[in-house]
Amino acid sequence: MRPEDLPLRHRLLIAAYRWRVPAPLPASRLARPVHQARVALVTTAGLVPPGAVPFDTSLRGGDPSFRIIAADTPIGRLEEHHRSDAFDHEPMARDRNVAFPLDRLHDLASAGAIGAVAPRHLSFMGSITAPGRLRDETAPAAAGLLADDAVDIALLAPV
Amino acid sequence: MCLVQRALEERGIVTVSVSLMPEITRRFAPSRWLATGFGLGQPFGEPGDVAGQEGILREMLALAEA
Repeated sequence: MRPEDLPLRHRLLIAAYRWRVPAPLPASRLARPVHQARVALVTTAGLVPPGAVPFDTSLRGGDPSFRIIAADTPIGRLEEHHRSDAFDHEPMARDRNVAFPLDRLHDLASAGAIGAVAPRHLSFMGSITAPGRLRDETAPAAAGLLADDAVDIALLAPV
Repeated sequence: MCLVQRALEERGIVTVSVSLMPEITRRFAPSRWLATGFGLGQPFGEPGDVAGQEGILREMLALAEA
C-alpha cells in the first residue's frame, strides 16, 4: 500500500507528521536455529485479552501501554480496540490471525518449524502520535518482558 | 512499531516486522522486515487463509535466520 492510497485526512497527517528517525541499530544475531527458537508475536492491533483493561482511546497522542496475551488465549476472545478508521476492521473481526497469527504460530511449533511458542505475546495500540512514553517506558518494559521469557525471535506486525 | 522493534533488538532479540507501507518503513530502516502486500488491518492476509498466513510467518522466520 502507498500513502497516497489513504483517505485525504490520513494523507495530510502523514505529510505533516514530524517523523523521528533513530540512528540505525546493528541487527541482533540468532543464538540458535529457527527450529529451536522461541518465538513471540507483537501486534499494534489494540487487541485486549478477556478481563484486561481496555486501551484508553481518549488519550491525546495515543495510549502507549501494552497488554500481555498468554500463549493459550483463544484468539477469538480477544477484543479489538484499535481506534483508527483508516482500515476495514471486518477481516480482523472474522479471523484474528490476519493481524495476530497466534494459531498459525502454534501450527508451526506443532510442525517442528520453530522450537516453541513464547508464553507471552504483546499487544500495543497503533496510531500513537506522541511516542515519548512509548520510547522511554513501555517499549523497553515490553522488551524486558520478552527477554525474561528467553524469547529468541519477535515477529512484529502493525495494522 | 519501529520503537518497539528497536527496544527488542537492544535486548538481543531478533526481530522481523511486517511492512504495510514500504515507502515509510524504508525511512526507519528496521533490521529485518517483509512487505506482505496486504492492506491496512490485515498484515497477514485474508481471513481463513491458513496456508497464506503460515507462509508469511515462514518467510519472516527465514529472514530472522538471514
